[in-house]
Amino acid sequence: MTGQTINTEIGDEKAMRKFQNGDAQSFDVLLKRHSGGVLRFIMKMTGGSKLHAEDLLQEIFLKVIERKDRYDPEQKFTTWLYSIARNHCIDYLRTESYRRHRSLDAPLSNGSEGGAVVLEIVKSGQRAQDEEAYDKELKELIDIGVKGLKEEFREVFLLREVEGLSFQEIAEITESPLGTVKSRLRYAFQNLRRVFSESGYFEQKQKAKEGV
Amino acid sequence: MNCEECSGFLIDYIEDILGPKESGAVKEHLDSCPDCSLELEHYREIRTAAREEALPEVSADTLSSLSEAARENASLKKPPFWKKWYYSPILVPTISAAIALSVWFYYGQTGFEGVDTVTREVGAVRMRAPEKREGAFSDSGEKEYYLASEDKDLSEAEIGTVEADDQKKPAGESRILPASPTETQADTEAPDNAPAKGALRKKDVTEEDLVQYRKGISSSSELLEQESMEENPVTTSDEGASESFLRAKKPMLRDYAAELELAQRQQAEGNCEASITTNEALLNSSPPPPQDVQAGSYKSLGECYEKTGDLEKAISAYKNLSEVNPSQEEYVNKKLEEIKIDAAYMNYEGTDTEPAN
Repeated sequence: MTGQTINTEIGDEKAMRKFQNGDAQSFDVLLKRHSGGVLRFIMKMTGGSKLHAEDLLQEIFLKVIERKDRYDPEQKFTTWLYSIARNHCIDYLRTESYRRHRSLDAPLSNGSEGGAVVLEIVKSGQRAQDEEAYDKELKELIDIGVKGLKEEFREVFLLREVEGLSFQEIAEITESPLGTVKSRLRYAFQNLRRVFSESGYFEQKQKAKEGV
Repeated sequence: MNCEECSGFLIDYIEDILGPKESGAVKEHLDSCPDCSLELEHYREIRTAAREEALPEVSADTLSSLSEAARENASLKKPPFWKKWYYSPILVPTISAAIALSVWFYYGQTGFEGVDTVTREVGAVRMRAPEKREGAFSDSGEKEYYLASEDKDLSEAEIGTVEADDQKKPAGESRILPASPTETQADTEAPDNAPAKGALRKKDVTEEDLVQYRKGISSSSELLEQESMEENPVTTSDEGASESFLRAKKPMLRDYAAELELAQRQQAEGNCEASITTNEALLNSSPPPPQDVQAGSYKSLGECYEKTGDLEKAISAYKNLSEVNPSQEEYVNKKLEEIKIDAAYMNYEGTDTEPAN
């Protein structure tokens, strides 16, 4: 128990250095700490199922193991980890979109379709009246909105707002200037807000508040 | 700050990455603008929702398989340094060959002493090998012809001895002769070996004769050179050659006696001016001629000047003669007397005519 607490207190970079020196337990610490976040990022980034996302997660962490000697302990571990994850997701999306474009019977779902789905949800009167139901709907809308975002806006939004990485880290991961990262985040928020507005979520919530 | 400007700053405002100045301006605008405040509210809601995204649980299978992979990787010993990729059996020879080649090219061309001689030698050997073969072939052809023609003469005169020596003689010779019994015997005994033998013999002959042939060429060229060298003295002794040509061509090997003879002959022929030119050239020549030649020359010069009437020069020539050859003093004195008389006579003539002018 004490050993475990010590392990969890170890910084990512130190743990990775220990793993570089052959300590597999340190890798377990890193895996425990970051696998959930990376899995979430993969799911939101690729929009695929959890099962499929886990396959990608495995591939990403196998890359971490294989490339452990290439990690520079001066660099933040999360930057390195999410760089691998982000590049892996983008590679996957490229091959996936190529595959989808090749098949004629599978039309690509995009942002505008997402908006249409939201409108359907709203019109069908599935909206629950209590707070819990609003929260659930909010998350659904975010999922749909994020899915509809362009790849470069989506990755910035996810890394910043979902995974909580710093702007500097995101700039390194996406290999873009800091200003670009900031403006991409703005576009992402503006697009998401439009999705929410189109769904009538804010309106409904406002009315509910006033009604109460 | 208007609404459009404020809208552009709202995300940065939420993220708290604005400078204090901009942050204050946004806050001021928000206080007075319900639309922008509402927009901010919407962003906050989205942000909060995004931050509250639940962490998905990674399946135990995935975690355990990854953990195992890490253990496997960690237990792997690092490959010894000589087994790394850059020591691959393809890369090492390729790179070392490339380095060796580049060194060879570089130093082979810029003339680094040690390497240069080696490369030159290698180059020379390479160049010589085909040349030698070619030479052998062409020479063998020539040689065959040469020997054949020679042997025609031989075969007429000394056919007996040639036949006797036939076994030792090369193939070229035996070709034009009727095949000797020994050779036919050898051919029948070993027909497979025969051509090779012939070729071998031919080669021996050609190499031997090549040396002789070259010697012959060099000796003949030497002869030619010698002849051309000897031609020059012949032309110098030529009577018609001009003074300047003589001086320019062979200043060291001047035949003074011949020149003096020439001058004296010119004098005898009555061509005094030519004689004077020859004598002066002879006396002015840079290694001075021997005294007897000088004396003869001065004497001839003095007589010529006397004849042409240039008495002063005649006197100086006679004086020089007496200096060079004191035994001629008597002759000189006699001549000077004559000149004095001539001069007195001429002066008289001159005084006689001058007042008339």
